[in-house]
Amino acid sequence: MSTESQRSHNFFRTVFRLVHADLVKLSHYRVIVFGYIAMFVIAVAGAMLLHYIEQTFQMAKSNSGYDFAIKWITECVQYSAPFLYVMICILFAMEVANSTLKNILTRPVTRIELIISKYITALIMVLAALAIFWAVSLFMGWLYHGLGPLVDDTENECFSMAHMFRQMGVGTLLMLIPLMTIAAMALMVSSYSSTMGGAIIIGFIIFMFFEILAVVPLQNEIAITWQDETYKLPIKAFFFTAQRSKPIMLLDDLATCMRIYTWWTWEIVSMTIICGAFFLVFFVASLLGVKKRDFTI
Amino acid sequence: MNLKTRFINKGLVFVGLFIILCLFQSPLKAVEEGESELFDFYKMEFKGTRHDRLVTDLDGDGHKDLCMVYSRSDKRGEFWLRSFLHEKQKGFTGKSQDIKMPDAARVFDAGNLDGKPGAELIVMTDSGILLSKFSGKNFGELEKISDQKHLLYGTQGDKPRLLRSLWDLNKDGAAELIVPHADGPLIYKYKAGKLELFQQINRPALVTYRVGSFGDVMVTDDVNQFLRFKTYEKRTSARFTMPDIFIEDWNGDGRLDIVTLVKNNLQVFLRKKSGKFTDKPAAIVERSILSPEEKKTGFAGEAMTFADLSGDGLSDIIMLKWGTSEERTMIDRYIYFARSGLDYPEKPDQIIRSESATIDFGVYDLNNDDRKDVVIPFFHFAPAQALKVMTENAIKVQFRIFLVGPSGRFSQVSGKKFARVDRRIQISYKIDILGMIFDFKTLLEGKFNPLISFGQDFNGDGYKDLVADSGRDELEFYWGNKDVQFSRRPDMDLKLESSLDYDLVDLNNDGKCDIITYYESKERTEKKRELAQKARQMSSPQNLEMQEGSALAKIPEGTRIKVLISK
Amino acid sequence: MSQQAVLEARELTKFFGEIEAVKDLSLTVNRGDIYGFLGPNGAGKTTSIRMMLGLIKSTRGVSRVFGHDIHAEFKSAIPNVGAMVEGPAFYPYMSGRRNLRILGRLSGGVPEERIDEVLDLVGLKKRGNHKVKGYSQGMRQRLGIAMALLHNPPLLILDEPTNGLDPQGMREVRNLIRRVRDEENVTVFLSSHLLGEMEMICDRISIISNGAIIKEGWMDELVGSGSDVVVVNVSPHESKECMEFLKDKFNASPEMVRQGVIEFNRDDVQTYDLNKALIEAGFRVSSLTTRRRSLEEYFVELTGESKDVN
Repeated sequence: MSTESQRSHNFFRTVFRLVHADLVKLSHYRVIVFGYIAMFVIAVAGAMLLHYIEQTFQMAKSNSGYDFAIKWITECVQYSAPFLYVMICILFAMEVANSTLKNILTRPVTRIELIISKYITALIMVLAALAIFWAVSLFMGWLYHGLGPLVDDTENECFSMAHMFRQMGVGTLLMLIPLMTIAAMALMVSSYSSTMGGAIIIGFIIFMFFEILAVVPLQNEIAITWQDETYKLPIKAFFFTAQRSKPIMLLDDLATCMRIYTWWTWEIVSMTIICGAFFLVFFVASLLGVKKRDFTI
Repeated sequence: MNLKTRFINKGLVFVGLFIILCLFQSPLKAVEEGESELFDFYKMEFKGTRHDRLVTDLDGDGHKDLCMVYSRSDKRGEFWLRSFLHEKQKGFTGKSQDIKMPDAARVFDAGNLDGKPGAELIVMTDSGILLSKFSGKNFGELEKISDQKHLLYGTQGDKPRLLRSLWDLNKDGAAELIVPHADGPLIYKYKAGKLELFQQINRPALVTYRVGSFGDVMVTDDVNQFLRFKTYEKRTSARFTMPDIFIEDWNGDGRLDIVTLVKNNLQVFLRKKSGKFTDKPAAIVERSILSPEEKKTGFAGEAMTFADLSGDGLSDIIMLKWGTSEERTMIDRYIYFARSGLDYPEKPDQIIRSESATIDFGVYDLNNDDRKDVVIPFFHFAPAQALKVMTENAIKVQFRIFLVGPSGRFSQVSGKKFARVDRRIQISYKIDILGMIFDFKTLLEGKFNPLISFGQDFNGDGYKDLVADSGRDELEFYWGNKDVQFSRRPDMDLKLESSLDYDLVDLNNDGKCDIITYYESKERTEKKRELAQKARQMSSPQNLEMQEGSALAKIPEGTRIKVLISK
Repeated sequence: MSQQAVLEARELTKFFGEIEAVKDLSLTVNRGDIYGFLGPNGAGKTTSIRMMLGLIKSTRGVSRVFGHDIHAEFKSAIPNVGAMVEGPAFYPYMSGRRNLRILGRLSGGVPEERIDEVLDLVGLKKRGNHKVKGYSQGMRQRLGIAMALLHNPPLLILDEPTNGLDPQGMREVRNLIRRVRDEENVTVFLSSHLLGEMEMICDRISIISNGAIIKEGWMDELVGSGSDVVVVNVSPHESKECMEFLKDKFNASPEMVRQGVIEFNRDDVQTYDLNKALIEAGFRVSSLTTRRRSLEEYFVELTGESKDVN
């Protein structure tokens, strides 16, 4: 047995190689590169616009650089999601469209490894976008209001800089849950399509379906009783794409000097459960899509 | 292929279950409104539109009753006073009696004037004072007991208003009647069916604007409350203003004094051992903290109020300043602690600065250390919140608590200009029922008045609790404790229709506060909620006020009252 | 299973719904073979290759590479194979070199020298750094072969390798294949419908028709030793006469390939007798040779039908 096959028996190594290959492919693909540059530029321009609006309408003013950054990144995550979604659809669709899937599958790569590597690449794409947004938001926040320990209106310090960053980090990690579920949906759709255009259009329609339904004023709730406490789960929460800004929105308590005692509020728990369930469904579906399909391309 | 079909089948089953689950809400045992371990629940209802009301013991049985002025749309210009009696262990049994208010009635009050069981009703008109005695189940006929004219000079009366004018100044069980007068407040005693003038306080009215008063949403007959006097003239063209009158033991000598306040000029008339009040004010406090430039801007304002914050028996002065920082809704409260001899420093001892929701703030002893603490509400509302508001329909209300420590002062880090916040409490309020876009103006006008209060003890443990309407027809209770730490989730929930009009008062004298909430008729309330929801979805302010011929006006009027009395 | 067997298929069957595309396909490729998998379009070649590579799942049957089952021991089997199935595939927005590099990553990393080597081998050295979308059809085909060779696989599977190539290109590919087998000891498995091409290069073949293998074996053995067909060169104007003569005299079924060149199956006819007869008949015979029957002829004989798909 060749050393190559010996090495390839290692799951993690193979997945790593696949992810590495994906990143090289994406970094040379103009659409993706321009997409990220556009996100950066829009983030910067939008932040400047936000600052201008705040200056004009007094009520809206941010108290601190953190307040500004949190506000802005919430907007960024909110509005960039459809575009990120489309970019992730491309991940799988580009293999199908170029027929390169057969290249990959005639190398020592199992289909599970392939799918998992796509998920990890999607995760990296999401993290890259978040990194850009955070960098822009924090920089602009620092520029306009300054960062440093958070001081309240009585000019007393509430939280240290380290605390603020730690909390923002936790919020970002939690935000990955709904974002990765959205990514999983994108991958699932693209693993069943045969063309790039088809994947993007159908995927986009499904995404918008969830988005629009989340805003419909549906008041129905499911009540769950657990250990003597009643928890209400609004039906709206099942349209999980809208949950993506929730963790970050929790941070604006922090900006008003309210300590966040626990991140595991019912909101976050329910978000995790719902997104987790959807993620599992999408993951299994995309796995089946890749595994069982006879690739006659 | 088989696997795929099986998977699809399973998937469809899953989806089907999911849909069924969504359509049915899990069948919890339906919770009744008002059901709780702590309270008994009563409801009253009648046809008519409510106006001012008073909670006080009418029939002398030691339980507080409710009397309320109301009008009817089919009988314009006429007003009645309806009394709801509170029977021991039975709550408000719903039986009520009316007496008609005379056409010229301007203000009213009820209390125990003659020292005998049963309240007296005082009605003041342009031309005199009327009195009626409560006996049996209702007030009797109103009889004139004084011809004193010009009592409410320069004011307009559109309806009879409550004017808290009965105070037991010498704590002998019989209240005195304090009546505003252009030449100075008149104090009457009621003896043998007649009003006798006891004294006129030397504080004539001033030509000035009314700027504000100590604000607290409760109206009780607790002695440490304040006479709330409403001006009837238009703000911009006041001819003269009566001073605000407060009854307070100013100097800690155990006797209630009369405090008059007008245009940030406070004058205290101490009560001498003889029972009469001093001719000249024992203390005159005037502070102006706005600079001339700030005054010129036109939207800055300052107001004076007082409370014994440090717990030494001497009232301390609080000066509020607002509208000076262009950037935000920052309100400064300058605290001047009393020194012995009723001396007040020229410069403030401490400054409490806070972004505030309204000028009003709460002063309560939260940790039972006999020192009053300060609670300042604040809404954090910004465009980015719009997304949250849209998806959650709730705003966060944050309370900043400043505790007075054993030193008799607020916490303050040395070198800092302002006192430090000791506690932050945050609750969320669902705003569906209001349908307004929040701004400072709305709040200043007092239009946002949900049932949220720090100042009462509901569970009888001696510590003041936080009661908060969640805006979702649910009252949340957070029990207070000596550390002033409230839990994140409510300690008790109670299903109760959300209201914007309420009284928090101990009705059965068991040391535990009770709750009365007031509503319009069911049809009108539902219609308003519907309109408010539509307005909120369209993000436009909705005029929920009644207009002639409007859709709202066509819906029949009514008043509903819900009462929670501690068991 | 002999130790020489590099690729083995046993009773591979594939149903697409009701249609049986491949029926009990069995074949063996030995080390060092240039093996031709031949048959008309639509016979099931690509489907079979896909099954052999594990790209699609066979309804029945087993496929082994170097003794490893392609499904059960995929990761042991597949590194031994370099394949180009139904055309090359690449990312058009990147250069040929970069495409190779990326594919190389999937095999665990291929040194840059090998990439140079492979590009040189397929004749793309100069155009290696240009974007693939600018390549001609022939260049793309060659890049596909380069991709298959990249990781030094002992077994090369090429499906229609000369597709879209001009005669020059086809010759180059042929040479490449031979070179690769001789110099690098690579076993080559080719599939094509161009029987003429395959004849020039394959040692062993199997013929597939309508989803089933109808023959497998050494090219020379199957097609014949080399003297099955007689080729007679006469003067162009004598062609017709000559044909008549051959029909009468030798009971043959001659074909006129072109003016002056006549071919027919020899059967038992002796060349000497033939030559003498023609000369005596007065034909101006300029040459008389025998050749092996062509693969195509063999195929037609075997299937008794045209090359068109039914």
